[in-house]
Amino acid sequence: MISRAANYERVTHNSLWCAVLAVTSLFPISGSLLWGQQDERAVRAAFVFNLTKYVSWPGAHDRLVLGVIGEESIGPVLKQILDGKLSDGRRITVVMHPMDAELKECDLLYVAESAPAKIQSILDRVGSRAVLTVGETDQFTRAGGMVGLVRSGDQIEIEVNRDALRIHQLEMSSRLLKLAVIVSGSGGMR
Amino acid sequence: MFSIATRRALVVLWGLSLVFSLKATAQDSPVADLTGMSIEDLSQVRLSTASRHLEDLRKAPAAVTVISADEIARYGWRTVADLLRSVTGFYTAYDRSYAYVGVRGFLQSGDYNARVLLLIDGHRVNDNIYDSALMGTEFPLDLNLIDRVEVVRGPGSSLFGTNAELAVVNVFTRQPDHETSVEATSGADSFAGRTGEVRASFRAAQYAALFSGSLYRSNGAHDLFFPEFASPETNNGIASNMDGDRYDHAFAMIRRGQFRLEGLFGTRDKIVPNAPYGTIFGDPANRTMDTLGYVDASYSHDFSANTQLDVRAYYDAYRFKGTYPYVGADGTSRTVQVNDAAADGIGFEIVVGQRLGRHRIVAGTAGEHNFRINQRNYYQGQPPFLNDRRTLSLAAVFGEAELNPSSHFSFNIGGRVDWYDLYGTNLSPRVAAMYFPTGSTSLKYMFNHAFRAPDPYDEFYVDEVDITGTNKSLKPENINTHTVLLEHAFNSKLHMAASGFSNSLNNVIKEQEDPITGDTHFANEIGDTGRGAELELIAKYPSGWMGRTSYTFERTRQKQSGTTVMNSPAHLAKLNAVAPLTAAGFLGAEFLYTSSEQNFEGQRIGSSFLANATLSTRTFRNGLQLSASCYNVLDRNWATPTGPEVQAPATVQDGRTWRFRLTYRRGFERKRATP
Repeated sequence: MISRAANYERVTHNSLWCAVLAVTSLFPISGSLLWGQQDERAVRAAFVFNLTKYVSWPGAHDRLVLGVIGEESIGPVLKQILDGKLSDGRRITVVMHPMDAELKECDLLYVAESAPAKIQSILDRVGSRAVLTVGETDQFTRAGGMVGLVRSGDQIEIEVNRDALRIHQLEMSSRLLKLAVIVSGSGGMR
Repeated sequence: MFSIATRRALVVLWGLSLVFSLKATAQDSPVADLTGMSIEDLSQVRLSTASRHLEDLRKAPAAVTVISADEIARYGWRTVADLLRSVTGFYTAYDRSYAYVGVRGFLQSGDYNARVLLLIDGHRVNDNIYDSALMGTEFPLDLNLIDRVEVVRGPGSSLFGTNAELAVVNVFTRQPDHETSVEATSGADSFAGRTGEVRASFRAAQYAALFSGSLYRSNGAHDLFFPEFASPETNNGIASNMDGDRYDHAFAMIRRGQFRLEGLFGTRDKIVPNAPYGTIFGDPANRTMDTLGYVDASYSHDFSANTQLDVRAYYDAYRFKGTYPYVGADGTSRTVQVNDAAADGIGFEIVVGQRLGRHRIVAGTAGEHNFRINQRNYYQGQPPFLNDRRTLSLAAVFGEAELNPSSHFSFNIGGRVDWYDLYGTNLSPRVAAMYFPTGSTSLKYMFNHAFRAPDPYDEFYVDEVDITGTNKSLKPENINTHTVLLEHAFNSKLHMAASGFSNSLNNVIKEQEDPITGDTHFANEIGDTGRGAELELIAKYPSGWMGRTSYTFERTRQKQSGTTVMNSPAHLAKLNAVAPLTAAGFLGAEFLYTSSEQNFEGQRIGSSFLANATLSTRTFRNGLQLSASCYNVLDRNWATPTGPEVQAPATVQDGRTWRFRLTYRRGFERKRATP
């Protein structure tokens, strides 16, 4: 024989789940994003977009070519978010894994690599061209890269190698420099 | 409540809504476009760590509420307990000594929030004698130093070990400003309360530092009436100048890249007006003093974009001193009993996160050695009758796998094993299955098993009321929790969550009272079961409007008798809203309803309705920022249940009170050479 207490609990239990179902089934489901959730890749993409606004390249540009080299997960996100977007009147084109010929067209190169040897090799490929190089680790700017979007605790911090910027004839706005940690690296002519 | 036909119809309707939503977006969930954010805002964005190394809050295998620094300022919360009272499923009590937090129907008198794990920047701050999570003015950090608070409703032992039975409250501190700056706050509140706080951020090369120090002094309510002492010998039940409260805080953080050194010190001294434990009423020697500090060094290293390492080493210190005046055996003399306790420990933690394609695993190990766990109990001028000295060590390994077979499904399997030299081994598994029909909707099922090891206070404390001495041999208590959670975003500004939960608390460590002698001791009981449902709606608009509203229904009963457990309100309803008044200011208001509940003796404590309001400004160009708060605006009478240590069934809370704060900030922009 089932005790009265057990019965009571079961009825309450079932009713609760039904109530949850009733409430949840009433909400229309749309295709928008869950509110308040900041994916690290989305934050990085937004930083890159801001970099395009606060860095000046020599000469006139009507488009910005953004190359992505390295790890798989960030590339598609940069493509999804930035490809075709206008930055100060210049349309952004995202090129995944640019070959040497395409690299020459790049204005910004996002390097999603952390191994120092690979970083060095990529920077060597860029050479002295006015390409804004952006990396993800604190070794990047010290290896001669220009901007590091470095994870610091649970934030992204901007590191800037001003020597490398100057050598490559790029200028960065003071608004961005104000937020950045300035580092010195071996950025020189290669 | 629902007929079988109605239930079937609901299930079909619910299923259809999911099927249609699946059809609508049969592709990978897009990543949010944050390019509209300014570079300054982006540099403040925090990447979630709700579950260690979790990068996507959407896949958190738990119900998580994130409270921002903005909300703390706009609602004028004075303590973490104030803040948590606004969170879905949470409620609080205050016995004029400590603040207590209840979660989903569980709040046990006689312990000190030992079923809630409190972390500051991932560092555990529950002390290692009482396991107490200090939530009121005893919390050792200024609320102005908080960047955000992540509140995980439900167990977290699978990653964090003991105490994480009902909730994990992770407080994240502010980071150093991007420029060298100083900030000072001066405040005044009811009962002659006054506070002074100074914060300074420094930037030099790759170093960033934040230092803070603060003082708070309050005389407390001038006269407090306690009807249980209403006799001429005890001043007709009026405790005059017996509610004083003071704290001192210091905090420092130095950061270089991924290395962080953090130190914290907080001490709080409170006069206790309600003569607990049969002490002399109206005697200002009734006091508790808690001091907590730590030094924590942590380092994160990204071996690659797929592999991260977090290492932490720390030193923890905790001191408690309680003084309790008693009438001597001759009936006229006065003697003061002193409890003092000291804990010091060192520990480490290593966590590795590895992404494997679309999957992710986390593995870690932790160890802690408390080289001093001392409890003394003595009458002033006499040798101690308790002088317990021991050490306590623990080691743990833990791991979690997040498996994402497709963009629509995610599974989370994890667990932790803790070895205590005093309490044996505990295994805390967690399993979660998550379904994402669209980028805006998730449906999650989660099972958690969590535990609380007995603490040295439960196990080894002895006084003349606690009769069982060292013969207790307490076992760890544990909880099994099943949760179903549905989250949905109507758009980028409006978000809802609905959940149903079922808790079973086993071998619960409970303060027992002898009905004849009034003597108390801790012992394991069979436990309690609780079931309930929550619904919350969160809105946030760029114009400054924001709000949260929630309703929680729960029933928690003792397993053995089937009767309702102590301190367990069946209904909680909350509304928090912030409205921008002009370009310069905001009005923040909260309305909190708690239904009636029973105290430990089964006496009914009436429901409460609280309305609080805060007017605050943005920071003006001259660096000034002002706020004015009124608490219990309607001046309603309300009380919260007490434990057996207090004679009254409930502790009367403050009526209408006020607080005013003025903050001045000055930044010193770094000078730069022209490129």
